[in-house]
Amino acid sequence: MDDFLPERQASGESGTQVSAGHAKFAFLLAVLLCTALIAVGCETGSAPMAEAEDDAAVPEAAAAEQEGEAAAAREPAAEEAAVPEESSEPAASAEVAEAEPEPASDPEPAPDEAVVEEPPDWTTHAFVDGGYYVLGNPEAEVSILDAGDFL
Amino acid sequence: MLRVEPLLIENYVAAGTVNLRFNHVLDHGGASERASAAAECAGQQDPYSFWTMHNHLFRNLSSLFSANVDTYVGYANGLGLDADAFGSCMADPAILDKIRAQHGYRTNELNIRRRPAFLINDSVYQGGLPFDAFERAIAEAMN
Repeated sequence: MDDFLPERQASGESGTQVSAGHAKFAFLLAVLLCTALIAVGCETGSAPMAEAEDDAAVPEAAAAEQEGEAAAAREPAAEEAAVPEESSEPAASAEVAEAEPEPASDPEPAPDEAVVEEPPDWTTHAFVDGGYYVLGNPEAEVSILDAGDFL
Repeated sequence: MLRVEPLLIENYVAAGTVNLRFNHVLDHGGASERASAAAECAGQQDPYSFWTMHNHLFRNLSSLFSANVDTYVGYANGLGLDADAFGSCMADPAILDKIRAQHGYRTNELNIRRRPAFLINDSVYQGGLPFDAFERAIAEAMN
């Protein structure tokens, strides 16, 4: 920018010495140059703008850092909040993982069922049938009646 | 049955293939009636107690001829039964009627004259049987 101004001032000084046609041409040229320079300046000038933005960006970065720190402070909560969302899929897979062992755990109830299905101790099971005190399984295939005297 | 019964319980009752019941026989008058009444009164408190008293009576068989009601109440007390309820039951004539009816069934309906005697399902076996004879009789009854 500083390099450009002396040139324009130089061109302005030289315009006082030329004709009106040349002045118009010089003016148009200057406009074109300015347009070109502005266009170029927008590209190259993005650096100073960026610098300016950087100046502004510094607070933003600081703010970003602050936000980052705040976010870091919030992250656990956010993560905690995110965990269910993110873990919802793992949870689903965990459920699947838990669900998958269920078939494997099916054999586990089997022992329980086996325990339940274990026959009772018929040697201590007694019931009354037809006036008799019967020892053993009510569904036994064979019934033995002992006709006896205790003496 | 006295010697064979533990083998039957171990080999058949425990497996659930055989159950046992006891039909009173009163071949020794009042002594037999009191002993049978003691077993019945134990059973009134708990069906399995009939069998614990049944086993206790056979273990003390030699003392049963001279045993009175107090003797049996003492047995009941030793087996953890309610002694008062047991004593009341021993005085209940309905118990005597029941055991006499079973004796009559054995004599009059099954026509059993010998002792011991067994009814294995519908087949009557008179006289003492060794364990292997019970095994064969049970196998026949299961076929």
